[in-house]
Amino acid sequence: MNEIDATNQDPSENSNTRVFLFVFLMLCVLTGLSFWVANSYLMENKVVGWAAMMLVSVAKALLVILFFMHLWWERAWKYVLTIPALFMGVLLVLLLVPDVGYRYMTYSKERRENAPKPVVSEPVVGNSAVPILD
Amino acid sequence: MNSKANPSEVTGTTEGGGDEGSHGHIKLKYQPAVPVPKGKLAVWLFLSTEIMFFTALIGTYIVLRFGAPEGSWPTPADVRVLEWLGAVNTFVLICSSVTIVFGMEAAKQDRPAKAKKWLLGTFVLGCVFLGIKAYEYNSKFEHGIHPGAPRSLLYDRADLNYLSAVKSNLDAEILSIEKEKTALVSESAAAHDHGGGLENLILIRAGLVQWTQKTVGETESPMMRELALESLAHQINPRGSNPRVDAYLASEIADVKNRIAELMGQQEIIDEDVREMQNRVNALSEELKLEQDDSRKSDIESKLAAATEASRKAATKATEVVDLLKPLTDRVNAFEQFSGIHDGLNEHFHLKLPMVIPSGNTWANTYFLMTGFHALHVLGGLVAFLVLLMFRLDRTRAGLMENVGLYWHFVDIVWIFLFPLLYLF
Amino acid sequence: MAEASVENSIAPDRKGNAVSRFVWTYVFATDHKVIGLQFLFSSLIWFFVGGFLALAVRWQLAWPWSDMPIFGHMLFAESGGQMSPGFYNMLFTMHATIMIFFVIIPILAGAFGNYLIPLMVGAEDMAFPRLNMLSYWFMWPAFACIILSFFMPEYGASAGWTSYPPLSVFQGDAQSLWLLAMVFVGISSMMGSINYLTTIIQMRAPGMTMFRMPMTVWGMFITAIMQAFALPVLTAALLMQLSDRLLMTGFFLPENIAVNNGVATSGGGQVLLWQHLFWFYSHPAVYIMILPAMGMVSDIISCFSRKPLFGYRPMVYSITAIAGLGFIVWGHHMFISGMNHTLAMSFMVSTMLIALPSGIKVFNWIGTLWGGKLQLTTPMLFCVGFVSMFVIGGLSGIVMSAPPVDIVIHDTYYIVAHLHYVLFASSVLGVLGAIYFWFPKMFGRMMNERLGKIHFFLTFIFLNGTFFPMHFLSRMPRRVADPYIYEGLKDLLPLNQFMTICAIGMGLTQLIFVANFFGSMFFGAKAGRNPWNANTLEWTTASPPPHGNFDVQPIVRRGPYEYSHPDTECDFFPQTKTS
Repeated sequence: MNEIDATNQDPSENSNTRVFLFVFLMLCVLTGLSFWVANSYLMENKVVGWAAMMLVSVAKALLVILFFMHLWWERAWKYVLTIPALFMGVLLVLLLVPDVGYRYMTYSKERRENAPKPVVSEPVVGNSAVPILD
Repeated sequence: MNSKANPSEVTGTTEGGGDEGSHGHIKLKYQPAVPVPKGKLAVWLFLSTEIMFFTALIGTYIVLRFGAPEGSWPTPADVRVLEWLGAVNTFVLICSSVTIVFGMEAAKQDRPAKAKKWLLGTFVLGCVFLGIKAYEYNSKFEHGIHPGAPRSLLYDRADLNYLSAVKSNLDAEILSIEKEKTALVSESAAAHDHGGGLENLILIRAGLVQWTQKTVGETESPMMRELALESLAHQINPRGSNPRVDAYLASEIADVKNRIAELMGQQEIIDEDVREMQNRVNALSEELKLEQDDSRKSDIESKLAAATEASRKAATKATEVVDLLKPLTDRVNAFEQFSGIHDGLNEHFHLKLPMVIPSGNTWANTYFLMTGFHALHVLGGLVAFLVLLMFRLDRTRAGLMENVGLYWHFVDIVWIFLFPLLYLF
Repeated sequence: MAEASVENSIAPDRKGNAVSRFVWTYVFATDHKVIGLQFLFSSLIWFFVGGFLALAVRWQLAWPWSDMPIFGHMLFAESGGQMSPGFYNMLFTMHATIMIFFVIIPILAGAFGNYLIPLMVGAEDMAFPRLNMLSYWFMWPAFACIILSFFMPEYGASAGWTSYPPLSVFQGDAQSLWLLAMVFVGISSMMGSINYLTTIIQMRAPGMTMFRMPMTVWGMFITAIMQAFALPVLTAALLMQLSDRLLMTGFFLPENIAVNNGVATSGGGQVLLWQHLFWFYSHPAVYIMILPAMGMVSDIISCFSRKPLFGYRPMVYSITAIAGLGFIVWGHHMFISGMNHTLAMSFMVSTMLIALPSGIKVFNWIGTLWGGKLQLTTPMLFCVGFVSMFVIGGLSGIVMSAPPVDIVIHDTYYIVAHLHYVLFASSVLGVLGAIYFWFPKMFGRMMNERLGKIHFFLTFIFLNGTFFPMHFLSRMPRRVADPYIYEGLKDLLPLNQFMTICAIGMGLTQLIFVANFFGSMFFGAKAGRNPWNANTLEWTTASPPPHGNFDVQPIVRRGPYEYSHPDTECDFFPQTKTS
């Protein structure tokens, strides 16, 4: 508290302002970075590009959470709140993937006939727009 | 870093969330477990519920997007997404995050005027974000990209369903223009500026849609049927260059031209025939007029009847050929008129014909779902800013400002994830 | 007496003329006790509506297509009192919806959570009284939607309480109202849970450490955490299904799904996605419906055994473990959906793991009872009933956690037996026990013990008569209006008739409770501050507690279960008492 009072008396010396400006700069740079990734050779392998972009996003979110939302300065309770929420969120999505995310691999014949047809520039043989596994 | 003062520690805050005063009863002492005001703790709890809410939405997007058949997700160009506009919006939100942080700092330092200025800046930036969002939404609606089936013009594959949708859509369009024309007694410009005029629409109907319908109905090969439908979709709304369709169109037109030439040759012969028959009929009727003998008269009459019959047949044959020729020439006309158009008929003539964009509807559903709920959250934040702007933002309100700020940063974080997921993936 | 409790609960400066007093007392009530009672009364009213729907279901199963007494001719005059299969679908849908979302969850979290949390932790009110008021307000749009839905075509929502697409998307408009109602309930619960969490974390009296909190508060705390994390997912899913219905998007519908020969939606979605999102909430909801009851039962059992709760910390840890595991078992509701086999196996394992903490709890309750000086009061009877019935419900749950078994018994009356043993025979018995236990605190008068005991024994006998035979009906499909069209099920008719008679008996028994409740409210014996000689903080204040709850600052000196402590001459040792 005393430190806050000290900074209040001389706001020009407020080091937080510099931290915030630096974070802002980093956020802009990282936005540019994800934009660059999207148009770079990294996207030749889509998974690599996606992972890179998500990493950049996570970095950005962390910057915002830690500095703009002050979690950097908070006590241990921050972990109690943020980690379970994060865990649940990731868990929900991860458990959805094998059952829903890969569902098209086990489409019924009828559904396969109606499924969105992918864009293929090479001539296709027959109607095998989607992988047939059964 | 850790040794620095916690900027969120605010002295003398009133707590957010409507605390009742004590009405005569004793004020109790508590033993809080967490060294933060109640309001801030509640905001953090609220944000963790919001994390789960957006997890469900983003999770839906992820499983539907990666669950869509390989390679069937629309590209940004397909669905009129401008990547740079998304980047601009990201930048706007980042700026607004910084301004609200500075606003809170100012309030903490007991400088209400400065705090208000920063907050006003945040409010304006939020409005800019929503403005850009509205522009983006509008550009999608203009191209028939809606969430939901009846208004959405997106189709997953070029099939008979798609063809009939194109047909009914086009018929309705033509009908409405014709009505408009009859309604406006003088042929005013209003009827004409609607998509390159009625003639074009009629040509599209005859030379493209009905032609495709005919081809699909006649051909035996499923592959040719598929190609015909695909080429129709390609001409309405091309999704990049499609050499397969180009090759198909070229061979089809060559084929059509050959058949036209063939039919022209036949037509000449038939026309010759018709003329000959007519001459014969004329000659016989002339002869009949001059003839006095009854027995010979009846003979000529029967000859005349046969000749008339033959002439009629020849005429029918001629019209048949003309009928056969008509769609072919329409097709060639249509091809010649529209083949130069590289941005598609929809774009070129400002038409709203159904388009084939595989998984386009799923894209639209998830896009509008996520950005829609995000925009609603932005709107909620703006309302909170408006309320906050009515107060004097001194030290006592710094806690309130921090709570609103926390919410606003959360909205920013959601967008940080939505931007790559929706614009760059 | 209710009048007096409410009088005490409102702030003195808000007393004016009768109308404004009514409005301030009931509509704009911010006192947690008034809001708690509001939740209690509305839930009890809905309890009878839901029970009535259940009786109608039972009627159809016992005497299919026969004229229901009184109501048959009122509703179905043209068919001679015969209900339609669609009406039957509405009955079981609305029965489940009302019982889960309007009765058990609001009565546990809304009524008892609101009433007891501030009193038990030594706070003057909830952390955010106005938010609390809003959370009750949000129940009313939900009530309105559900009531309205009964008057929509086809009698109301009838896609089952699980609202599985594609069926639910092609239902009548009542389904949209149902979805809206659920969104409102969700918002209400979410506000409530944030409020409870903040109160419990920040507003405990000095000395009330986390491990001195009564189990009731622990149950509410863990429940609130589960609601906070699980509910938003359901809300998102409900909103998506609403948009599938109203905007014709296709989050949960496959491509080219055709109804009446027309392509109905834009498609491209996954039916399974709804099931996952729905059960991600609704499985934790099962624990939301039992954990607070477990907490209250622990308190009551310890009080009437005059013994400390056996293994307080293991109880806390097992509640936490149940909650944690409860989040990763939702898939066991979907074993027959054709889900990924590896996933199904992991769901099976995590489901079986839940038996461990549940077993710990049962063991500890029995350990508490063991060697205690048992006082078989009505609340105690209900709680002993809770423990025994929970064993049955829990064991049948373990049976069906294995996919090979579940595939056979899925959607049969075996499942119905299991869920009613957990939700009715456990949760509702616990709730009734809690009402008997805390009624003196709420209204300042005791409930009649004799009527209470009659109520307990009749309920206990009839509920077993109703639900136990369902265990033998593992070949009878649920949600079928007339199972006897199948030759092989015809022999089940007499058993079903027996069950229906028991169900009717159970319904009538509850009238004793109603009489006891309202009679005791006005004519019951006056209760002092601490009629049960219990330890927790709420018994140190007046009955009913005044606005602000405590007349002296409570300072907590020990845990809540110090019964028969050797240091004191009396057999209880209140948390605030100086030794």
